[in-house]
Amino acid sequence: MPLSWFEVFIVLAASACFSYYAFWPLFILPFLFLLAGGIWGGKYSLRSYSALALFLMAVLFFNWMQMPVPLDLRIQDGVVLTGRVETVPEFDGNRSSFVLKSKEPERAMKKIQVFCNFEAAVQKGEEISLRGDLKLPRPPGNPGEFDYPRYLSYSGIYYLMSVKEKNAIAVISAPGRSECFFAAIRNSGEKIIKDRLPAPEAAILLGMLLGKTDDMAPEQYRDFQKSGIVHIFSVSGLHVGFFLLLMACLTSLCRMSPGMKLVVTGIFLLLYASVVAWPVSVIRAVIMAIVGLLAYYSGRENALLNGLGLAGTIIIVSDPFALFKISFQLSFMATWGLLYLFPLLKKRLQYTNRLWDLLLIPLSAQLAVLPLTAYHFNLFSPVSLLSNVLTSYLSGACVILGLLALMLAAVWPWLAGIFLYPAGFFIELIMGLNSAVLKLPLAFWWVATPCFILIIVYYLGLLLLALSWSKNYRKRGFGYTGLCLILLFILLISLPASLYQQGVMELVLIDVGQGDSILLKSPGGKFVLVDGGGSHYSDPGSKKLLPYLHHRGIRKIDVIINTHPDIDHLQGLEKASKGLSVAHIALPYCFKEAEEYEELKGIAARKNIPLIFLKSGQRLSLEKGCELTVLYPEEELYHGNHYNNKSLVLYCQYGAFSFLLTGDVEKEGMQELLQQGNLGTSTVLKVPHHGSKGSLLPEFYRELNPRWAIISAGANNSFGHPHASVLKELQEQGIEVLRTDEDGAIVFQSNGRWVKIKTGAKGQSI
Amino acid sequence: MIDLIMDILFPQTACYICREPGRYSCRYPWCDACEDEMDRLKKCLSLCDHCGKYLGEGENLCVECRQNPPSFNIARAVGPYEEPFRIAVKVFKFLGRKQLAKKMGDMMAEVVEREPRFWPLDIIVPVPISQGNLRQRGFNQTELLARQIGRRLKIAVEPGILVRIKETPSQRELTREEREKNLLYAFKVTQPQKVLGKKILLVDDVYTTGSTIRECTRVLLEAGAERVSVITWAIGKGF
Repeated sequence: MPLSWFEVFIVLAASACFSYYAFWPLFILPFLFLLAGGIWGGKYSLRSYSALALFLMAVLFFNWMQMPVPLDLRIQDGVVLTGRVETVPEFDGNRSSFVLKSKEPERAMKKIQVFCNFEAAVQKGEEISLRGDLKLPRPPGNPGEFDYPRYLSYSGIYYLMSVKEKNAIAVISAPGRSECFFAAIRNSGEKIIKDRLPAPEAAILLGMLLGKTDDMAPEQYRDFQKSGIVHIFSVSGLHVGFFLLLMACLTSLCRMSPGMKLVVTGIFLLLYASVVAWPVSVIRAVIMAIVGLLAYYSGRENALLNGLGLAGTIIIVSDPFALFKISFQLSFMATWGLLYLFPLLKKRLQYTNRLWDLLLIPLSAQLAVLPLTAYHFNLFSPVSLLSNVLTSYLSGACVILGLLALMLAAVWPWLAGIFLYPAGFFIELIMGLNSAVLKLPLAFWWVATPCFILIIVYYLGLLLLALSWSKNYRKRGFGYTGLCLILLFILLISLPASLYQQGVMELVLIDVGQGDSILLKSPGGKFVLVDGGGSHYSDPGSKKLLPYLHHRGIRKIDVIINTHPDIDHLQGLEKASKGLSVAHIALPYCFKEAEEYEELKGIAARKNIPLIFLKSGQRLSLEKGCELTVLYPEEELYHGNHYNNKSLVLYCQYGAFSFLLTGDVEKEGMQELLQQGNLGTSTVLKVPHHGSKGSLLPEFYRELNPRWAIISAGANNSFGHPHASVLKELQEQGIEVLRTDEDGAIVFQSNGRWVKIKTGAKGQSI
Repeated sequence: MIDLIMDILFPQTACYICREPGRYSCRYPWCDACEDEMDRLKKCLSLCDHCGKYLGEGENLCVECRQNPPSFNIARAVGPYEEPFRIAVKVFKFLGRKQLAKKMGDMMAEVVEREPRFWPLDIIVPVPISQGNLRQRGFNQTELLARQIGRRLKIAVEPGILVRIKETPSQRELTREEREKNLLYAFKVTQPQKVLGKKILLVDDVYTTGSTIRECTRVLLEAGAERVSVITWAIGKGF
């Protein structure tokens, strides 16, 4: 075979991509490239031909593996399924979830994500039958939002099933004996960790050992993400590395021969994987570890890099979708950085002080994953170099102590406890260090999602730079070109969002489910956020609003405006003002003393943000030629508890483009607005109060005469927004209606002469 | 079998000696050009009749063997300790390319097969290395070579018979006298009954001054071995 495993992996990855996106015209590119390499490649021609043959074979293979997504999915109620529970059920206090491997012949039904509205008494490996409603996962509404259906489809899951009653689940047969054994070890370990350690530390340790992140507070998780050490919570190469270190010490203590060490370590690795019940990330880590061990003991040339390619090949042949999973991308690239970049860097710099290793190891891993963290998390964190140096050894100690505790928990809980206390202390240290490094200046910043080509540019630059470090290619131009490409990438993703699309006014109705959130961009690049969505049950502020703002690379908002203090308008603003830098917060004058504003006022006081109180007749000048006019309500304090009719109503005009934002006003408010007589016409109208029945006032719409009416409402919301009569009225008046529950985010762009509309989650990456 | 699997899992992409890119395996670890160069070096000079060192014109015994004849029966090497041979042994020892033992062992076995004065043979004994080196390298290079020779010649290999009882500093920077002083009483035969009356093939990687080999031979003969012959990978020049 004339290709190295790393080359095989790259060819397979490319063909998996093409098979998944099924974009056949582009197919000709690698084909021609390899063919040309074969014909004119000289001594590389055999390699090119083999790569070409492999590429074609792999495309056939991946199509046979059925990578393209099935299309004919439909919802059904009251479906009865039988199958085996494939994952360890997780319970978050309200509902439990697990994956069912069903016996249905249809491909889309083979694996189903089940949600129960109660704590399901099932175990991994049990065969069960259950009755519930088949649903489809909801696609994202905003650009940059987490794509749940796609995420599930990577695991071969296309349907959700919701089970409402406990008696809808019946156990047919128990899991195998070995599975029960490992489950018992896992459960006793989990129990002892939760018993002995305080909740946050226990959650982190469980995350480290079992790859469970469901117990961890989301804010905490995000903090670790910001400082670039979130990888310590997924069972990844780092863990397996520490596991191997532990095994190396133990086997050396027992004075075993190298072959024996290999076998014993391999067996323990498999045992550990069985205890944590073989989640996909662990399967991958085990494959990488076993190949890595073989590589290490083989003493072959380039064995580690080759082993990485081999492990990658095994992984994507067995599970082609792994390629699209964030965890695989991150751990593969980080390992590549350590195995390829680090030795080159070390050779280039020729230092003798081993302390440099401490800095260069995280540096090479971070260089390799930089575009991935920018793409998936919209983060660029220089501080990750520091935080990784500080925490990875601590987390390694935690992993080793936790593993010992996990092994001992079933037989000798007392001793297991002894190992846990120092682990808890180390975790506390990690948390302390983490919050300390995040406070450093320029610790991290949010960046816009880079587009695919930009990512390729970065890796091209990195490759050139790395080549310039190696002896064979020490040509001057390589290093400088590489460095320039890398800096170009960092510069482009870090540029403030306001620099893009100068001279274009933008109005975005963000899909926040049931609620309102509107982002305005002035032609000069000032950002105004009117309302932020919110809910008692979920957190659209963190899950929808912030991801959208991060996706666009918005780090600073000039004014945050709340129309009235209902939760579905206010909650997201609290999250936004916590998470971003905000210049002003504007609240309606009439609700000046409303107690719902306590938290927002607190944040404003802490972060030194000036508060503005708005009332009718005021004008908020964003820049020359662009101002927001407050049309409503009058200046008088309101003490009632029906806030809707006192919502702020804002109007803005830019050239021929104008819009009216109406908050939640209902008939009374709308009538008052009409009586005031200062309503002009407007191009776009945000339909008041999510299009509820109470906001049906035909004269209002006639007076405004908008071309588009936009409605923000949650899909299948329990209020029945928007009401059919409102929709009918709008239709009769010939107004085009756009709705967030059907269209997703709605974006209007105008330079004052033309108007462009975009809807849905299609990316706006730079 | 294992070697074949390892060749597939971790393919070798460059000649171990001159780094010429291509496809190599454990049976074919260096390119034809390097193999030719080795053949040329093997033949270009005459050998010392006794210890196998390379000699100048018109002699058949080296200075050493004339003044202070060593006690072994015969010593031979595959080639001189020069460029390709030296690189091969360095790659094998210091870079830990264990699979080279296959090719190198086969080449050494071939030399033994061709030279009738080695025969008959009863057991093969590798020269032991120091514990420090063993720990650092993770393998004993002479033992790997000995095992390959044993496999090829179908003779039993007894690595445990001869052991190092004194940790000696590296010999590389020392003069002959210092080396000999260093090595005195450094080796011991653990099971003399296994050596008694046997014709032994002693295996080492490099023969430079011959101090190690002489000392090992002495210890083996004292323990009752009938005859000791020596095969090494590379040997120095005797002039």
